[in-house]
Amino acid sequence: MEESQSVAIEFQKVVKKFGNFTAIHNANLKINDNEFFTLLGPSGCGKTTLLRMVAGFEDVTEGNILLFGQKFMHLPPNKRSVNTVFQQYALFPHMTVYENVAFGLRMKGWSKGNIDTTVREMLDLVRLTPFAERKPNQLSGGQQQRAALVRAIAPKPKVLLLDEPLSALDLKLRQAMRMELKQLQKETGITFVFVTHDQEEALAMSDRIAVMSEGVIQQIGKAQQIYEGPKNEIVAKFIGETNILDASVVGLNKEETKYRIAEDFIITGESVEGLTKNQNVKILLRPEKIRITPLNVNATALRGVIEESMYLGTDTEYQVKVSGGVILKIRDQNGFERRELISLGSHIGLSFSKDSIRILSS
Amino acid sequence: MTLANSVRSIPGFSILAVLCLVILYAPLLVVMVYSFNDSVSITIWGGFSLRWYEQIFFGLEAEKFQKAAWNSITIAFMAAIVSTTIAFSAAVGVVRTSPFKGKNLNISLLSLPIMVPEIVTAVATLIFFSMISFKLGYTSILVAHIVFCIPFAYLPISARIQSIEKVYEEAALDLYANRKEIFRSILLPLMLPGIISGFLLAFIISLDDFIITSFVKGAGVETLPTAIFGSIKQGIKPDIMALSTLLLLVSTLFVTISYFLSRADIKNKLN
Ligand SMILES: Nc1ncnc2c1ncn2[C@@H]1O[C@H](COP(=O)(O)OP(=O)(O)O)[C@@H](O)[C@H]1O
Ligand SMILES: [Mg+2]
Repeated sequence: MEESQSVAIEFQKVVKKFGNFTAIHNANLKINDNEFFTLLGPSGCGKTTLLRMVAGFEDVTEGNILLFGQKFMHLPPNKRSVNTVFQQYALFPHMTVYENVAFGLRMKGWSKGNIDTTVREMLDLVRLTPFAERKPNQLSGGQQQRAALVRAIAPKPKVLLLDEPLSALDLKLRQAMRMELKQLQKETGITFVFVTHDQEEALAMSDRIAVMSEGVIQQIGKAQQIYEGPKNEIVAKFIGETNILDASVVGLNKEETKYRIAEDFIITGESVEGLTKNQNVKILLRPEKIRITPLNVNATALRGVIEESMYLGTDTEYQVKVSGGVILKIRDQNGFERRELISLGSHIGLSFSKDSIRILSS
Repeated sequence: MTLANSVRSIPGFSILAVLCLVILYAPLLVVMVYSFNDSVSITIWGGFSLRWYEQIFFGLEAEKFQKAAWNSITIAFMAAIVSTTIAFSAAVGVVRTSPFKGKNLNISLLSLPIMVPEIVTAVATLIFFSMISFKLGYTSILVAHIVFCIPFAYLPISARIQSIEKVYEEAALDLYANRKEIFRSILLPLMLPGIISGFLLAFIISLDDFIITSFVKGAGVETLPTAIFGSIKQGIKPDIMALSTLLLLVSTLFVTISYFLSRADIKNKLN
C-alpha cells in the first residue's frame, strides 16, 4: 500500500452513548480511499451504530468523523455523499426497480437524460435490465439485493456503507455475491465499508478488516495479519478456531523460546522480544498448524490420545489429549493422500513448526 | 389438532354455522328478491318486474327520494373528505412522531367514540347545537357527520401508517431526499391505501346513518335513511325494498373496494 493514499473516512476518538449505555468506546480508525474495508464482530458489538453515525442517522456523542479530511457531522443524511445498503434492503415497495435506482439521482436534481443513462448502466452492471419494470416484491432475494446495491451506487457516493447485505441470502447465493461485490468495488472505485459478523466473508473479501467486540475496535489489519497474528484473545477466538494454552517462559535465547504448559509438556517457539523468564503467557496455536505423525518416528515428539473426531469433508477435526490433561484441537486435511480416519483412543505423535505459535503476554 | 379443527369437531357445529348465515342474510335476500316482485303485496310473489324501481325514479315519491338521495350522497361525500383529512392529520401527528406525553391517551381518545352508544352521541350533539343556537338543517347534519366519521376514518389510516417501517424514510433521506420529498414520494404513496380505506369507511358510515341524522336534521330536510323510515311508517311498500336494494348495492361496492385495497396491502407487506 502506498504511503500517500488518501483517507476516505477517519474516526477520531469516537464515543457513542445511548443513555447510560456506551455502544462505541473511543473508536479510532482510518479507512483509505478505494478500499474494501470490513467491520467484523459479533451481533450487538456496535457495527451498525458506527455505520449509522457515518450515514447521519445517529449523532456522535464525543469525538469526530472526517470524510476525506473534511468535517461533515453537522450535515444531515441527505447532504452527505455517503450511501447505505440497508440490511433489509429497504427498496421502496411502490416503485419499480428502475424508479428505485433513479430515486437518488432524481433527488440530486440530475437531468432526465443523465438519469436514464446512469440507471440503465447500473441495471446492466448487475444484470437487472430485464426486471427494470418490476416491483421489489416480484424479485428474488438475490435480485432485490442487487437492486438495493445499485440504488446506492448510482448517485456515485464517495463512500458506500453496506450493513450485512448478504446475511439474508442462502449460502450459494452469498458466495456468488461475495465475488460480485468485490468486482463492483474494483469497477466503481468507491470506498466500501462492509459490515458482517461472518469471519469467512470478511477474510475472503476485504482489503483490511477491523475486528470489533463490545463497542471496542480490537484490531485493524489485512486478513492474513489478523488471522495469523491476532493481537489478543478476543480476536483469536473470534477469527477461526484456535488452541489457547496457558504457559510460562522457561527458557530464552536468541533463536528460540521454551514454554512450559504442563509438567512434561514443553514446546519451543521462535524468540520473541520482551519476554522474561518465568513470565506467564498465553500461547495461540491454530488447529490446522499441528501435524499428526506416527508415534515411532521421533521419540521426543509431543504425543497424545485421540479423544474425539469429527469428519468435516475437506478435513477432519480431532480432539487430542496431551500430557497434563490439556486438550488440543487439530485439523487434519483430507487432501492429496487419502487417509483412514484415526480411531478413538489411538496414541499419536504431534508436531508443529516453531513459527506457527503466537504468544500473548498476559 | 389446531384450535379451529377442534371447534369444528363439536357436534352440531356445521348446523349452527349454517343457521347463523341464514339469520344474517335471509332478510337481505328477501328484500332483494321482493324488490323485483310485480305484486303490490309484500308477501305474495306475483312475477318478475322492475316496476318498483321505475316507481322510485318516476313515481309519486320520486322527487322526495331523489332529494333525500342527493342530500345523503353530498353529505356523505363531504363528510368523508373532511373527516378523512382531519383523521389523516391526527394520525400523522400521533403515529409518526416520537413518543410525547399523553400519546397513548391521544390514541384511545381518538378511537373511543366508536364505542359510545350512538343514541348518546345523538342526544349530546343535539344539545350542543341548541346550546350554541345552531340552526338545524343540511349544515347541522353535515357537521355532525363530519365529527362522528373521524374515528372511523382514523382507524384504517393509523393502522396503515403504523405499518410503514422507519427504514423507508431513512433510505429516502440517505438518497438525498428532503422532508417534503420524503412525504410526497415515499410516505404519502405508502399511506394511500389506508387513506382510501378510511375515506370509504367514513362515506358508508355517513350514508347509512339514521339515529344521529334524525336527531339533528330539523324539519323538512331528509336523507335516504330518514326518508325511508318516514315512508315506511305509512306501511311497507315494495318501492322501499327497491330503494334498499340499491343502497345495499352501493354499500357492497364500497366495502368490496376497501377489501381489495387492504388485501393488496397485505400482499405488499408479505414481501
Ligand atoms: N437506538 C438505540 N438505543 C439504545 N441502544 C441501542 C440503540 N441502537 C443500538 N443500541 C445498542 O447498541 C449496541 C450495538 O448495536 P448495533 O450497532 O446495532 O450492533 P451490531 O450492528 O454490531 O449488531 C447494542 O447493544 C444495541 O442494543
Ligand atoms: Mg447490525
